[in-house]
Amino acid sequence: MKPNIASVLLNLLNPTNLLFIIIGVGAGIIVGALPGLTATMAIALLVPFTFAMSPIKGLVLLGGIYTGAIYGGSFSAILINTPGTPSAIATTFDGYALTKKGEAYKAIVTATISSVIGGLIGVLFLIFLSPPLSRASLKFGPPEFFWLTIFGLTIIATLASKSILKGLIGGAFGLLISTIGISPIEGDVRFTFNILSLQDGVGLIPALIGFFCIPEILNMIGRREKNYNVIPYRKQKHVVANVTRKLLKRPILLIRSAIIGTFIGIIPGAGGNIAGMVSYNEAVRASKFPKKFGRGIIEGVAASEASNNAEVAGSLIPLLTLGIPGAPPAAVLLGALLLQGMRPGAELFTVHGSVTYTFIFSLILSNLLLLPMGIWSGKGISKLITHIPVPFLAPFILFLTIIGSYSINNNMFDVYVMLFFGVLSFIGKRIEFDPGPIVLGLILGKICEQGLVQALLMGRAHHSILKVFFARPISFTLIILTAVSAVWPFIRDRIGKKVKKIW
Amino acid sequence: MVKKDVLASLVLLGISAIFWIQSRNFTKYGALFPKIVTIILGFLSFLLLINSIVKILKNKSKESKVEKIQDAKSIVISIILIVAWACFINILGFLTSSIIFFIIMYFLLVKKGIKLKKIVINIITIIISIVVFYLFFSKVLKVPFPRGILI
Repeated sequence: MKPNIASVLLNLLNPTNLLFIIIGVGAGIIVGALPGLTATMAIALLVPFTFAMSPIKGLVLLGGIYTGAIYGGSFSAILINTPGTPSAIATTFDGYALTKKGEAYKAIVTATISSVIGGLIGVLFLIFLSPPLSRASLKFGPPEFFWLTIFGLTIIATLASKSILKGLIGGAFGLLISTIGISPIEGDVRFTFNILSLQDGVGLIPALIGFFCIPEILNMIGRREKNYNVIPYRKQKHVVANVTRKLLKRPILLIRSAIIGTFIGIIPGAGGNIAGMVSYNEAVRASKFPKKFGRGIIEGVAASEASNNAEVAGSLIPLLTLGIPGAPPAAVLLGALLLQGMRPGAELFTVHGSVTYTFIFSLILSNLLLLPMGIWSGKGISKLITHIPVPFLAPFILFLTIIGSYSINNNMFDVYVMLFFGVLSFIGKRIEFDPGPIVLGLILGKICEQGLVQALLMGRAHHSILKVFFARPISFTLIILTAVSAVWPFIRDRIGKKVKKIW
Repeated sequence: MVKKDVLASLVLLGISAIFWIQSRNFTKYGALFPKIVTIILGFLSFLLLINSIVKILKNKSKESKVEKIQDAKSIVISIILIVAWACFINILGFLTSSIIFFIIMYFLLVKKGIKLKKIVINIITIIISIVVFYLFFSKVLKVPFPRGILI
């Protein structure tokens, strides 16, 4: 399973691949910096176009966009107090406070350096954790996959939504959509409502584009041209050196934030926003001067940014090894992998090893590229944020959603599917149903059903269904994890109440 | 907010019922998973229904945390326009219908009180950029496009 380092390096140094990484990171930073355009949306829009590229080019491009967009979110968080992507929520606390003090440049430099360090630590985890996990995935049989999906769904329902009940409903709704089409066992034609095109099921990529892009565009249209006031900032001498020196004196802060980010990335459904918040809270708790946080200190920006960029690689760990996305953008990347005919699991690290490792190592390059691109492009981006040309941008993104969903199967039906789920997702968001759980349900539904039915058939062959479902070590661990994650929110609320009483 | 939850839970209960009725005709293993999911979805929606009715009776309606829409009319018009665009693609062709759509959207979204000269320049920019993008996607990236009577 050892990667062939020479071929991976050759792939990385190939000029076109390098160009794709640079384009990806640059486009990612811009998209991430614009409020209203998220990382998930950018990846969803571009996935269909990577179909025509070779797997390596497509994946390094998307990896660059993912890395760039999560970092880019910090610009608008720092400059206009609005997170450009949800991941940057915690960056606004100290980032904007620094801007108000006239130290925006310092905040941006801090965000850049800590993003790079956090991102690199995350990639290291990805490199060392993925191969053993992918080997472990070979031991997964149908019952294990069944429990794994149940675990993933419980976690997303409890973590990703404001209301647990609505999160669970969203997950169940996604599962139900996944049953549309021909059933995996016995071949029933299910819930097609006499529409022939539905026999293949709901297309994953059109649904993803609809769920993640259409609501954002409609919100942009509804918001109209909101003019943000950006406080102009100047580049100052020695800031880069000073900030670097100051951050290097706090290695524990950066490493802790990166580890928190990576592990929250691994948990399905918990994305960069949660990573940033948790890491920020921990930084406040561990600090000797907790009261300084929120009033503009660089430690606050560093905690959030190191964590959310580490989350990028973290969210890819369960995706590449088990096919379970760790965050919404990773869910869209799954679509890209499947489109290239690469099934997540041990196969990615053996048969497709050269492609997979090139992709993983390209993330190192993407992270390093943030340093020059972020620090130099700051001025231009801050200008861009001030006037977003909605009358041009909104129709143009719609144009991409339509070509994207059409071009996968050359089928207008996919466009209608995309629009249907897009409008549905927009309405759902208005009443606090997040698209996250629904999409995870849609992705996991097929794996879950196949696991369930095959495990039942296994049980019938062994004359003991209970034994197959409950008496296997990995299954048993997953069941316990599921139970813990299902009960956790209630415990958390209890503890929360007690803490409030003490205060 | 709470009233909308009642409506949403009723719709979801309806969906569960429709899927449940349909799944009765499937084979044993084909029906198993959908039946479990519809029961769960129905049960959860029922919980939401009761939950929101109790909140209404207790008069405990929370302020919605969702960002308020400033311009609901443009959103409704845009949704209608997008659907119309998608339907016209097969009739008029992708390029023609997109240009028409972009121009209508431009007038919908642009600020009032802009000079005629600027409008003309913007529309010409829109048309040129759509054609350039179309050529880029279809000739360079070789992305297939839907066809109609025109291009």
